[in-house]
Amino acid sequence: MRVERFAHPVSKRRLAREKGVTMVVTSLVSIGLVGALGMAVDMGRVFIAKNETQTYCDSGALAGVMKLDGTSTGLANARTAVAATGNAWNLGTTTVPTPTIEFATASTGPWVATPASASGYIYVRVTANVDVTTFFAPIFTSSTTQRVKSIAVAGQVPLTTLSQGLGPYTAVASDLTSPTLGLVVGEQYDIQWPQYNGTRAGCNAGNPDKCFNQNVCTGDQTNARKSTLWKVASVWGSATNGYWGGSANSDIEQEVLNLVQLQPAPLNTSLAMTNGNKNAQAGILDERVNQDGDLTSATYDAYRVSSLHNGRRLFAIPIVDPTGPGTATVISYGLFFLNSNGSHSNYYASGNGNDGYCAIFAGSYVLGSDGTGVGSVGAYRVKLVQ
Amino acid sequence: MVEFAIGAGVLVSAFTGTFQFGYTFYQYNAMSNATNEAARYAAMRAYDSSTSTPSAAFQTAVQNMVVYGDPAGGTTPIVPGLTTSNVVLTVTFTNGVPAKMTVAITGYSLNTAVAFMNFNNKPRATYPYQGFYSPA
Repeated sequence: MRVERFAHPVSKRRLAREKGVTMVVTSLVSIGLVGALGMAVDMGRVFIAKNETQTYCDSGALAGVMKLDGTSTGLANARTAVAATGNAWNLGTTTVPTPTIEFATASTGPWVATPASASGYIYVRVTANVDVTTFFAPIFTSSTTQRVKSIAVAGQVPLTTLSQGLGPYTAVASDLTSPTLGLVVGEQYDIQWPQYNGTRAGCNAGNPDKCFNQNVCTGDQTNARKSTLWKVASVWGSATNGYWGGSANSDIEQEVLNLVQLQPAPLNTSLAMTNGNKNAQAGILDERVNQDGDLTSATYDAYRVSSLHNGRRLFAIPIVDPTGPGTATVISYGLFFLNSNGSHSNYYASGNGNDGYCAIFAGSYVLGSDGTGVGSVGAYRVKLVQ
Repeated sequence: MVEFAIGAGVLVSAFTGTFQFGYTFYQYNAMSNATNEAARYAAMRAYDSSTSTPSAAFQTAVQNMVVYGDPAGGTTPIVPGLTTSNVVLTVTFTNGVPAKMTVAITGYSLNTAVAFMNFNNKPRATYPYQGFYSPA
């Protein structure tokens, strides 16, 4: 009873004293909670912006690096390609403001926005900065935006083997120590040799062109290629004409049009040559040529600046060294420009059955590109390296 | 009690709103990553159609890549309720060959427990095509 009499008035006083405390505490806690939760919302938007700008940079760097070909036109095309990728930020609603586009000869830099010479520049770095508007962060900071920065670096990375991407023909190297292996950019070379005839009058090391029933291509007629021609005649002879694909029409179609290889072609390994079927090959080569938008350019220089070209007249093949009857060692890879003779080309099909097939040496091969790469020869894949 | 009720109302609203936004951003990020990966995959895969309409196999593989993270398909989507029909692949042709691959989420509603968030043509990612054009 004493306790009850004593406790009752104290309780009342306490209640009176604590009136409104819940509201005050709730308000104070609410400010902290709303701030913390708001920061979570702002951070969510920042993370999304980071993802979106990273996609923009990755895509732009890949698009840009595919255009690099060692020329100033290639640099300009790379800048255009970066801007044209079409990825946006701010939940996909806003174009990324002017990105920084730089080039380098190594993945570690130094990075240059406008190189004096395009030679050797095989890396592209794209940097994007965007300012994400924050709604809750200003409660704690004076800034109403958060800067988000993304960077991507892509390069043309050399390949040492290809299991898809090469046509079933070869070009023969004549100088294993030269950067282009003895091939001259812009010259016509045999990617498949005319019919060999070792008993033809005059066929010898001094006149190797006499060892074939038809003329070899113009680039193979030069004195510098004489020993190469003799090597083809004396090592390969009638065993092969430089073709290494299938003989069934369906195989040739897959190889020429889809660049499906029946065998891989690693560097410094032996490639088994085959006979093929020249009639089918000629028609399918022309079919590939006719899939291009530019059937009139006669040189690769004219072709690469044509707004109609799409890369179908470019054909990557191994560059080889004949090592024995029916075999060759893969030395490198090269990109060749297929010939055309009109609005609907039948350049290859219109020749005689045993003519050689000529194509113009253009340079290095970049998978997926509609032009050459920066390197003199070789095959490259564009790849994000950072 | 009255004060608690008022305070709790404010806090519950704040928590609910934050959860809704946070959950939506989280799932948006997941789909953004998925479309990015799928567009990259589409840009690398051999394109086996001669027009900008992809083959069924190509389209299905890309859609599976978004929804399941695997071109072969799967059973659990990366976000609840996402199906392959919510994935749109757009192939841009230039001069008769594939030049770009764009992958987007469309017609998808995310249930955030208190509301539905609709996604149309976003997230979206585009990559330059760098695979083998294989029209034969």
